[in-house]
Amino acid sequence: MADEVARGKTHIVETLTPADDDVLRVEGVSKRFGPTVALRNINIHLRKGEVLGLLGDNGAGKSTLIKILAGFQPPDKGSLWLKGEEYKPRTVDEARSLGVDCVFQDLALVNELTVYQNMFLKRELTTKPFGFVRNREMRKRTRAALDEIGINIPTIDVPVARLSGGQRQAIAVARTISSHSDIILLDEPLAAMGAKEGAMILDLIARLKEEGNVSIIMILHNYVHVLQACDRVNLIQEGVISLDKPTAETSVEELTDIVVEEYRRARQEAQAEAA
Amino acid sequence: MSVASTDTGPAGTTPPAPGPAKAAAPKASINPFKRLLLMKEGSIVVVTVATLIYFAITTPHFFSSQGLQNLLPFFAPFAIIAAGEVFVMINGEIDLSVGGTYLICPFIFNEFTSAHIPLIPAMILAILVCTLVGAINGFFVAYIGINSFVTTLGTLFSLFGITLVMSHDTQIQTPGTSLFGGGTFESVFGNGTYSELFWAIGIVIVLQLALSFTKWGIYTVAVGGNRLGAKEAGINEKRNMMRNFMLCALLAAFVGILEAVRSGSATPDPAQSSELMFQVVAAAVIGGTLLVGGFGTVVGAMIGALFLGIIQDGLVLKGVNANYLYLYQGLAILLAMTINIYIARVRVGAGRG
Amino acid sequence: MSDEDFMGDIVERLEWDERKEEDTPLKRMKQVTRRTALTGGAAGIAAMALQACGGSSHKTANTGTGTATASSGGGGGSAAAAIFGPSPKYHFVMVNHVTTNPFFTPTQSGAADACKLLGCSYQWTGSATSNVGQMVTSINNAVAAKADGIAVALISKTSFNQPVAKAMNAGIPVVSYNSDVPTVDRLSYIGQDLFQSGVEMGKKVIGLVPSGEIALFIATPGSLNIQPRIDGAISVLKSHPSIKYHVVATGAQTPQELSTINSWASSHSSAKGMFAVDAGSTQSLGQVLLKQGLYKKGWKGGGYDLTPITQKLIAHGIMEFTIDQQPYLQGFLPILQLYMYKVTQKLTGPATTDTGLKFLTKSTVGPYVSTKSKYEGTSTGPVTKA
Repeated sequence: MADEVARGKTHIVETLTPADDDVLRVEGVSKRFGPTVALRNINIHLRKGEVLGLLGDNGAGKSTLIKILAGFQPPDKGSLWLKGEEYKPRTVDEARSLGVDCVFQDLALVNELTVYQNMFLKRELTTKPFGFVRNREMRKRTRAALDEIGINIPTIDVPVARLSGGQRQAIAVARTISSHSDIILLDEPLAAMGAKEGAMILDLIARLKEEGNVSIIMILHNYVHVLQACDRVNLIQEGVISLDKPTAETSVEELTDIVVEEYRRARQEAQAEAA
Repeated sequence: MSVASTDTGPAGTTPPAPGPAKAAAPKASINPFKRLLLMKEGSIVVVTVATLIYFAITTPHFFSSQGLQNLLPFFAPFAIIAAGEVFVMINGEIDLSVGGTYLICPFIFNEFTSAHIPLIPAMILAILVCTLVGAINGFFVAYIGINSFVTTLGTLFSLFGITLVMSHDTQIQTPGTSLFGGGTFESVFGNGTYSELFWAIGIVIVLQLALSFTKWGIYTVAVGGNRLGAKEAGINEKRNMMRNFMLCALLAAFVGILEAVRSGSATPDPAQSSELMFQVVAAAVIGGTLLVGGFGTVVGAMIGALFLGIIQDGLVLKGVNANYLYLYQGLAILLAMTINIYIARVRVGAGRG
Repeated sequence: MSDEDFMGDIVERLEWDERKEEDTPLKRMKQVTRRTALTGGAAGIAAMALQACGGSSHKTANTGTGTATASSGGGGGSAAAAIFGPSPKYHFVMVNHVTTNPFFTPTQSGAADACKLLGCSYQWTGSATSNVGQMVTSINNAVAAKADGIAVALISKTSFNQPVAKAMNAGIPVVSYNSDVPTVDRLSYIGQDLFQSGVEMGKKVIGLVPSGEIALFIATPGSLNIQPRIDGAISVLKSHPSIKYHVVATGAQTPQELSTINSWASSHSSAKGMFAVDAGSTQSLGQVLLKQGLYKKGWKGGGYDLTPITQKLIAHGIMEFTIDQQPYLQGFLPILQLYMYKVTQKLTGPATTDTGLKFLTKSTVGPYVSTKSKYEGTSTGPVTKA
């Protein structure tokens, strides 16, 4: 770390500065895949009712971190804390049962299944004896949830393969939001959406924030969206958190500057090494 | 799976866009025939009925009550095994070892009865042992990660070898059977006139319900259609695949016993056992289950098996020369698949599932 | 001592040897096929050969206690050695084209028994699917491993010339069994031509069904171990236009064969008989004759090989005959001949032998069916199946 301090990266979050009303804490988490180090030393906290934006380049490790929080894969080192208790989910299912739900980047939808079957994937309602799925009830609730959110999907009996990218993403988001979890993780929730649909989702998030029951971590690419929707923003660079600021205290320009600066520095180093 | 239906627009909120409204209107005017075609199993039903009519008209003795009784063993055994194979294929895998489990189960049954275990417990034990073979398949494919084609091929050969060694390459008389027939055990388990048919229909109904209306069925489709996505959604894809391989082996073992009871003997010669597997997979594919996974139907597989059975039985009755038998069967399969694909395109174009 | 009695002695000795073995279908089949092979006409040949190996050594056996206390390997071997002088334990290779086909299980028994009596060993190898390439590889491997002798079923007119010649040049004696190509340089042929057996069956069929419609069932057309049988039958039937025959493929597995024959029978109600050239079809056509009551309507049936069900159906008069091509001898005699050739250092041994075929009918099949009680007097009763 010393060399990074020397290089002027003084805002690396080396240790956690927790708040009293944290619902989620990540301390010293690292993860590698073979020779590739995805996360080196991640320290993050999330307060109750907060919307935290997570920024960073492609391959910076954002999705990896989200997957760890969602219970999809375990960290190599470090610890996680959920509402004050140690948090070590072994499966996504377990995470969900503890109140953490996630919208993955690839949406986790099954093309051949219908809209309502996807809405209830791994959350199916079943009859008491025999365990048959209650299709009618599931369809009713799906319809209600989609309408409430305001997404336009005329038929919920078609396989999701037939829907547009934006509609599919909306279903994935709707699924997680309808689960009334305490903590929601969103990996690029606006990636496939046009301006209007994107605005609808951001609107939805704002509504959730107002209600104050849900805490959200969102990965976004668009800095405008980040400043608009998030309370605080974290920037991941080279496997560590290099910025942790409330959105009110930063701007699109500052975020852009930091990222470009880093890019330039890396390029200079690479050229120096090559020489 | 349900036939697609259009909602007539949600109460409140956004009014339906012009598109869906148009789709809703023609619902009344879709004739029943087209409706049938649009079902998943529609095309194979049409093809099979056409073939049935063809043979009924051109071949005497085909459509008589005796003729139809004779038809049963040509398709019922394959329909049962195909039901299990469908689950494995929807997972995106394949089980080539069904021929081996089918071959060995009667011999394991025989070993147990020779050890003085009573008939029905011996049969159940033998089937359970063979289900273990399915668990081995599932373990190597789901937990170790070996390709299912290779894994089940290895299991197949191992089973062949074990059968030969266990039986000393000698034919046995199936336990529970007698020369003149008529015993209760053999009538229920394969030798009664309609025994195999009842088993086939019962098993197909139960498994189609499981596929369409239980979590197990939905997860099977999910694991086959989007394995990573299913895992992200929290589905234990390994356990799902394991279950399906075990189901497939169990059904193959059961049919092995049914057929051994029906013919009164079991011969351990494996040299032609692969043909069973081809026929089972063909029935599943013709019935509408995709080899790549994510899509399938048990009822379709039964109709596919029926189609293949009608062809075989019909050609025998017609007195077709032995040498031409394979040729006609091959042509029939190609024709059926072509019609299937053509109708599938119609279905996609109509905007249905 | 007559040949029959003498052979009876040999058989009993071998059976005594096996008394401790568990009673299984295999054991019973083995004993039945051995008995039928080594009695009757074949007794003479086997007796002659075995006498040379000290078979009549009630007087000269190692134990000296006489009668039935033969021991495996050592007793026979030392008796043979007493006649021929000491010899190393020979190792022979038998190459077959359908190694897993139950037809040849008695052949393996015959080879095993001969080895027991002579103190040698044998290997059963080749191809399970009539793959000639695999068989040639087996022969070449035997040559490379310096086997003491090779017996091979010659199922191809051209492919075996070179490998056999190579073996003979390397000093390894080669005989053929079951299937022969006279132009190949082998020392002798033991068996009966499949084609010829078909001819015999054809003649029998004409005797049973002088005119009318009949079926000829074959499991898998083109298979090299059954196609010649049906060709032989057809060659005879062709010249009798009063008989209309249908050749029908029944499939490789017995349940399938049963379905096919069932369908054929119910759609040809004016036929007079059904005949087959393989074990599964034979058994199945008998079952169909029974199930559909056709034997009461005067239908005639017959075929090949000795499955337990076939035997029973003949005993009950539902089928007329089955043909036993004595596969036991096709294993027993080649080993014997190869041994003699080696031990007499090429002076004698090989002799082309027609193992003949036996028609088993209701009157002669009796011993087969009741073999449990009659021939296993020294073993425990059969295992009852529920």
